[in-house]
Amino acid sequence: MIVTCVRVALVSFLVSIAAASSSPADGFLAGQRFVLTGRVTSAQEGPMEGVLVSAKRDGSPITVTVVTDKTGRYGFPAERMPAGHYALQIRAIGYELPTPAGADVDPEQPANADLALAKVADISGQLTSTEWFASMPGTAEQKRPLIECMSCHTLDRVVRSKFTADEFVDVLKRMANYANNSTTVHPQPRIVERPIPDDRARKVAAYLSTVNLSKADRWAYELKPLPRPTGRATRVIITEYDLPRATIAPHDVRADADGFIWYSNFVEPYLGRLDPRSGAHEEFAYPLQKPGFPAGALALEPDGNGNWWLALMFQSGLAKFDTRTRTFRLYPLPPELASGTAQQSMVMPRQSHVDGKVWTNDVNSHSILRLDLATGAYEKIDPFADMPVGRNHSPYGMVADKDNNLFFMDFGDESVGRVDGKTFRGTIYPTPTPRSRPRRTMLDDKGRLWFAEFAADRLGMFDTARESFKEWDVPTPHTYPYDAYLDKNGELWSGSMSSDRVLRLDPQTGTSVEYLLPHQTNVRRIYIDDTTTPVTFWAGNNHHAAIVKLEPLD
Amino acid sequence: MKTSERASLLLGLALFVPLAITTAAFAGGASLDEDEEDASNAGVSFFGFAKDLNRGGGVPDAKVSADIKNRNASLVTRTDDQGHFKFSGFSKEIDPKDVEITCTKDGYKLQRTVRRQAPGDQVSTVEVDCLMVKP
Repeated sequence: MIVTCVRVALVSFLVSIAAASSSPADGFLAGQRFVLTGRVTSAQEGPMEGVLVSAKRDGSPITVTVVTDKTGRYGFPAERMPAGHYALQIRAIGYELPTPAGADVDPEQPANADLALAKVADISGQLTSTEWFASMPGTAEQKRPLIECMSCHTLDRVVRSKFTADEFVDVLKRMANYANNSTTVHPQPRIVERPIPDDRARKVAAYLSTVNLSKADRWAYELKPLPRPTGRATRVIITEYDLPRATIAPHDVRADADGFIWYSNFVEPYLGRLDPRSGAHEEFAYPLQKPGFPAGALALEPDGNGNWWLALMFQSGLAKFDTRTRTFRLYPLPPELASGTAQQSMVMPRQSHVDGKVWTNDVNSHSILRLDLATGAYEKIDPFADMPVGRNHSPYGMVADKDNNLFFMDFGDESVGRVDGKTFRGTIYPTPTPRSRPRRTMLDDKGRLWFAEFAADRLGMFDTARESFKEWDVPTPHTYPYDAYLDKNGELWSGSMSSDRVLRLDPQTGTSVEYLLPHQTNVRRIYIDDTTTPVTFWAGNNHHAAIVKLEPLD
Repeated sequence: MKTSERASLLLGLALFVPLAITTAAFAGGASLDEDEEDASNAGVSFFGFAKDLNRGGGVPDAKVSADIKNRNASLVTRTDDQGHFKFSGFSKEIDPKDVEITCTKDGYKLQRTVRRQAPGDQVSTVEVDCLMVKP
């Protein structure tokens, strides 16, 4: 965990350019000049590999992070570090900077900042939700309901609570009545009550009271931190762009052809745009359709003309942002569909030029909707109408093929589905792993869907031509991957709401690398920029108002 | 069928089928609701093998489709390494006699399917074997 407010004695001195250039230099950093270098050590380990060192210039919204190599050395390239004074932070589980650190960067005089870390007395404050999941005793079935807690907050507040089982019942029922587009700094109550069965709440509450602090001042179980990055996982540079308000919750992130980064704001009625070259930020407001209902949009997708579409969640309906005129056009639901619980989380306009139709969903009724652009009318399709009732179906992640047939993820259950755009015939393909809860997806140019199996800790591929699946385990249990994206090199990327790690997996070999992020980062939709070499990973930090760029060095 | 008629039909079907869970889950999934599945609503499930009549043994990685007569939905899966497949099935309103199971695989031809089910009114599973040959 980054230590933010610790006093530190920092040894900082100028070194020669020659000395600085002996720092790590691979990939796009090869041949570059470093303006800030140093070595990270501790009394316990000596030189420390896999320590994230972050530098943030005074007054800047941009934080740059590099990782120490096996000799404990780190280096910040000159091109990323304008002159100025930088505050330094670190992330290394079990360690902290004993006092605040900083360095003056001058392009003409490279600086050195060696960092001596101190052991923390208590690592509990540094654990990710993934590490709490791994530490807590209990069965997979007992832990399974907790994976939705991370939609709004980490597990830290759950395990630190002192609620008894009885007290937790009311807490769970109260939590369930916040809209899922809530954050701790911007909670949004549901308008229509969502009743939770008492017996179900009591079952979860009974378990939670065994893993929190209701019976003791300290957890009775061993805390199990994940190891620090090593080897290839240290060869990365990460840039975080703070957004101007703490309440901004970037959910889906996409780049346009001009290099701007666009994002949906999960809790406020704005479409956001970041210029990563300058850090400049701009927002575009759209009117609330249902004042008083939770605000914010989830899915952000471009149509064939590069205009942006938003799924308006509890505001219901869809919004299209014309990038030329910079105006919104709203597509509200008709009264018969716009119930108090109507919720559009997804939108798929990519192939709307084929037939003038845009796909979306209605979470509450577990159905798919299709918008006719010419009339503004919606058609409703229930692909599970003939399936056993009582299952939690929920069409979620969506893509459309070249003929604007829909493929969707059944996030509530375990299937990939297809809806024919002409006949509405529904075909359901159960994933090999039961109860996998496939979440977000992308379609590659070979007709393969790549997707995250949220509840199965797996990534999946569905070949739409062969109608067959492949699955890969993610390397760290309790990652709960949210999304998957195949890059131009055939490598698969994923992010997580719980682990603060970015996964890069080679589907051919099954080998993978996990990049640790500098801060607690709730990752939702991810985007890979294939125009760079190596490719560039983008995501939003949904709970901490930042856009994250990750550049592997190989 | 015109689009509007199709939409009306589908909307009608959607309204006809009772919603087991009337409350919205989180961003689209389950959680506290998740264990509310009611097995008593499940219909007949199907399982069986795709069998190679020439060599004997199972046919792995065959596509298996379950289609309901005169309805607009199907389930698709593939056989495992032993040629086995299973479907959790459709809703209990669907008569298992109206469910057709077919198997396909490149290089094979489906000769016929064999259905077996336990006698009695309360049928919960139906075994269907696909007997396949190489032409």
